[in-house]
Amino acid sequence: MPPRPRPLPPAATTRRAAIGAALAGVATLSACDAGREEPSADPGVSTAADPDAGLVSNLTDEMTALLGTVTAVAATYPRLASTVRPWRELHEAHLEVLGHDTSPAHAHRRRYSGPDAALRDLRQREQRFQRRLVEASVSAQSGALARVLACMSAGAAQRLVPRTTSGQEQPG
Amino acid sequence: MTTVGALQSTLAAEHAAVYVYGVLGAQTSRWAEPGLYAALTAAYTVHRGRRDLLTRTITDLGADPVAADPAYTVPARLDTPDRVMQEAATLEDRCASTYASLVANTSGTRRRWAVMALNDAAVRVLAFRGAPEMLPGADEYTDR
Repeated sequence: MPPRPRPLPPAATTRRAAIGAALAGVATLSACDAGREEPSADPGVSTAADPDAGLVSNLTDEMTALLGTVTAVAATYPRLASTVRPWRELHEAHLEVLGHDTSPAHAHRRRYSGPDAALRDLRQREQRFQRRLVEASVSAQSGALARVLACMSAGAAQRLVPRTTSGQEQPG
Repeated sequence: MTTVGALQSTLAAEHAAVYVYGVLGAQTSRWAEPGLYAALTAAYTVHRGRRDLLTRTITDLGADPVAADPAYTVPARLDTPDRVMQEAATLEDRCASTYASLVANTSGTRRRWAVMALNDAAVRVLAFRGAPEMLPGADEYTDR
């Protein structure tokens, strides 16, 4: 099992506090942002009136929904549980980094025509969300948050690479 | 860190990557290890292209691009495909971290380019090491 990331912020009891704590943690990491020359990349993050708060809130909503889809696929087709587990672990880890509660994941009920269709649907959603993370990184005002989101997109990109049974990357 | 500073750090990393991939390719038999050789060749080509682009970008910004060192330290024993793959994976991990830093210190199209380079490094490392990570490039979040 891959190592789990350390949670970025301390445990927060409310959604607002969680987002604030996450951004505060990111802000701590971005102490060197102040020297940037690029105009649209603001130095650091202020939790008082944070321009990225809405972005983080939307992303955590979307991650939570995706986590619900993963849970639903595993609940509908138990033999797919091990196949989709890497996605569940990834979203839980990313939500943790953003300071968001990850449990329990609500299983969004969906009807699939079979396990293959369920996996195909999940993969398409994951591809869309990976691109969403790229765009979120580009649009983030905080350089530190942009970095974290870019790393999340990279983690998702790794899981979208077709794998052989030996675990090696497969061309194409 | 300034944008130019981050670009210079990235260029320095790409100089090293081009050098080390050259060494790794030279240590790999095209006939005995065609898959590994192809992966190393592809990586070398990508990193050389990025090095050249970074050089032009820094020049366009009015700064002098950092020059490559005469040589870089590579492990003494690269006599097995596993050792070569291990070194290539380490190299891509470092590049992912470097590009993550570049993401933090740029915006707009330069940031987008850095995000894509980070994604590429994260995917490319899988050719050399099986296990994906939660946050490639963000070393501080993972217990390694």
